[in-house]
Amino acid sequence: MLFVLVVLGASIASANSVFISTTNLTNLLDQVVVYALLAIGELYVIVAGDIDLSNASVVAASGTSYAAMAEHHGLVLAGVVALSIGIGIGVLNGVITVYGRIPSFITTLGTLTAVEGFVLLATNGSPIYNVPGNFVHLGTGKWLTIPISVWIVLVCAVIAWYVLAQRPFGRHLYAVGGNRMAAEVSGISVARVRITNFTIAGFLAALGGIIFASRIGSGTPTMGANYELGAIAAVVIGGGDLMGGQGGVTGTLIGVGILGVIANGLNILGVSAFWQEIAVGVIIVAAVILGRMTSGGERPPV
Amino acid sequence: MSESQGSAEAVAMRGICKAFGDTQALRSVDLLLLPGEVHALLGENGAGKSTLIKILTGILHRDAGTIAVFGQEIHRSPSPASIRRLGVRACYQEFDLVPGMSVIDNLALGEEPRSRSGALDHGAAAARAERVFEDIGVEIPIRKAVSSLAVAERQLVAIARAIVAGLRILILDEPTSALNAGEAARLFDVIRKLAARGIPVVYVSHRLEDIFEISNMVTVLRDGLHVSTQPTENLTRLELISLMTGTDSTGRRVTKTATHSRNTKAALIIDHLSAPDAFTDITFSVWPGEVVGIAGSLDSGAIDVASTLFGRKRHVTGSVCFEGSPISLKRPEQAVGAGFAFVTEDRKESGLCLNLSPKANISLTHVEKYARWGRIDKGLERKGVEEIASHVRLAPDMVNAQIPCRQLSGGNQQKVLLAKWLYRDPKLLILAEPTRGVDVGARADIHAVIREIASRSVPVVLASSDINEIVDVCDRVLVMRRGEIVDELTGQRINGSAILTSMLGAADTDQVDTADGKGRSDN
Repeated sequence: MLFVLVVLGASIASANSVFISTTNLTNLLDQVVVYALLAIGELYVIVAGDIDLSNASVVAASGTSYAAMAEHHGLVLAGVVALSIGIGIGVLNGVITVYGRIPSFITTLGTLTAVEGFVLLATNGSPIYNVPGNFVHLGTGKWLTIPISVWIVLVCAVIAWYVLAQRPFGRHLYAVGGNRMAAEVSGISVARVRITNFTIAGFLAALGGIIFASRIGSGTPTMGANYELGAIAAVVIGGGDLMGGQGGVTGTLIGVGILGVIANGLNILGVSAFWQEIAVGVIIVAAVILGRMTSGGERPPV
Repeated sequence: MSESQGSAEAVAMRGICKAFGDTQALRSVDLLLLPGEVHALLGENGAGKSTLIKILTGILHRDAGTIAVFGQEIHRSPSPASIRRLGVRACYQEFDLVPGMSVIDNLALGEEPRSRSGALDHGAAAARAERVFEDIGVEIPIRKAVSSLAVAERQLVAIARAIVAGLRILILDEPTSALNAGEAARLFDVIRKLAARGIPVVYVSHRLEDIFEISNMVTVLRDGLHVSTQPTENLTRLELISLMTGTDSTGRRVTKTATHSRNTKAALIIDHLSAPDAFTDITFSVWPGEVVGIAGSLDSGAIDVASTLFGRKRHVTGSVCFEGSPISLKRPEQAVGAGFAFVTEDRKESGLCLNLSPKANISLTHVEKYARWGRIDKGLERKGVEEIASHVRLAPDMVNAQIPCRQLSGGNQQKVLLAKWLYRDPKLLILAEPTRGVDVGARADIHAVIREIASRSVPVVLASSDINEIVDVCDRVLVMRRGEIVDELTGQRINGSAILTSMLGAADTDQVDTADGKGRSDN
């Protein structure tokens, strides 16, 4: 998959060298940050055999509440509230799916729609502009020339890699996704694992919402709309299996990279937005087919 | 049936060879079918019957040999569809009927009669359905949905469907296992009618009584070899059985050292266990260190008894006592909690995560033990897992192989599974067809491991249709047939012939020499 990313990047760069200018590359990174956080959260959930469609709405919920609270309660408290909303929705997703014994697809589809409704209700459908001066620091500031938001993503990615590859919990995840019954019988608390995953996904989505709001300097009720599909696609492009039991952080980040490169690159090349949509769709499918064909020496995740 | 009729053969399979990895499933097997013949195909499990049939129907491709259907050569890798077009149809237990559709519509599937305007001609479809059933002499309510019919009737509809689609060769696999005597008789009448029309029928079954009733030719396979083909009337039941079991010899055998005594109390006591449609009134006990085998063909209920012990079967009446106290086995978690371990032929069902490496699977139940400051110490894990694996004769490089378990051979998968369960020090080991699809070498290893586990005073229950396995591994054998325990064998009587005789119910007194009063004891 890395190969695909490099080839895509190289071909776009050769068509228009603006692509690899520092400005553009930083731009690109900025654009994929939110996607990356959603995708990492999605990775936990997908590896264990579930799916989370609601993270897009969590972005909106957390972004708008962050913007709304920042003026009068300060950035820190606003941040805590926003993150709590994400965690809360995540726990809700997990509890309903596990104890209601319904497919996670359905639960998270429900929360996706309901939360979006809540956000529209609470904001009356309009964006929230009243934000303090330092609001945009998180989303636009840099540290050592790399955007702070990118650092945040890197930290989250490293943590995810560590958990999945090095900790017993990670093993449990792959087991639950590979054979839930076997995991149960091996003494793993499948319920606890699944609920934890949804919570993590909710937290990361909320983090994404905060960064998104911070970057655009406001909170709009439609922020993050449809991002969930891109996040899922990134995980699958990166080697994840929607049935569970497969997937990894590096692959997922490459998947995010591919999606970002396509969107950004096509923009640079002046391709119309409509053609972009077509291209994204085609490339996603092609990337996964290519990936499956070349995974001859299949390595197990653990 | 002479050589000069060669060109009239409906099916001529010659020199068929097929290997699966290291296992040679078929070694130069011949099968010749003449028109109108009812040809029985016999053999123990693993003898190669289903492999041969699957090669004929195109589901599997042969490695060597020739096949001709009605004189037409079939090339090496045919598609099942092309074989079906020649009129070769197999009817298995799972009929390819659509339950929600009516009989008429099922028969019409793919062969829809059309009216002039191109629309479906319901009248013609109904008329055709009536004709077909009249021809074979059965009455079926053709307008009812298939799902509302009894199993026996569904089977007849499946056969009728094959006829409508141009049946020229019929293959039936264990067709009477779900039928009562009356329904079986009706099926036989249909078979005779088809045969009278020149359609050859291949009849694969364990039921000797069926074979003597309906077939005129018998082919016996054993261990992938073609043993004999003769007219049915030339054979007695005992001769058939001895052809099937042959002289005892299947490579490496395990030595059985005594591992149990009756001085202690029984570890497992099963009393009047019954499950609807599976088995009735099962009562037996198992002592610590004893390996009790439940021998039976696939539909005998033996496997179901094993599944029940692991909480996998519902609506079971009767009681189970373990280590002195009654135990409820309604869910697998209860069995696991009691310390039971369960190994079946279906590795996924038995608890193998096929996406994970062997090491990850073996350590799954206790991976926290290898964690230092939250992080899994890979070196510790390796050592620990290798140690466990050595008990199941799984080589270290196999254990450490970074491949998903689904890529392992059946034998190695079973060993990984055994290793995983072993770590938990099981108090009762339940096995169901554990060496199905496992090569000879791994098989012997697994049998040795079972004996080793027994030597640790663990009671073991082994349900299997593989008679050699039962003979090799068990201290005591219960034979099941049609859901009931029909015999108990110990000591000298644990041998292939005695077990098979009980399994197949070939106990016709006029066929057995009882002059010396010994009855059916050791042969």
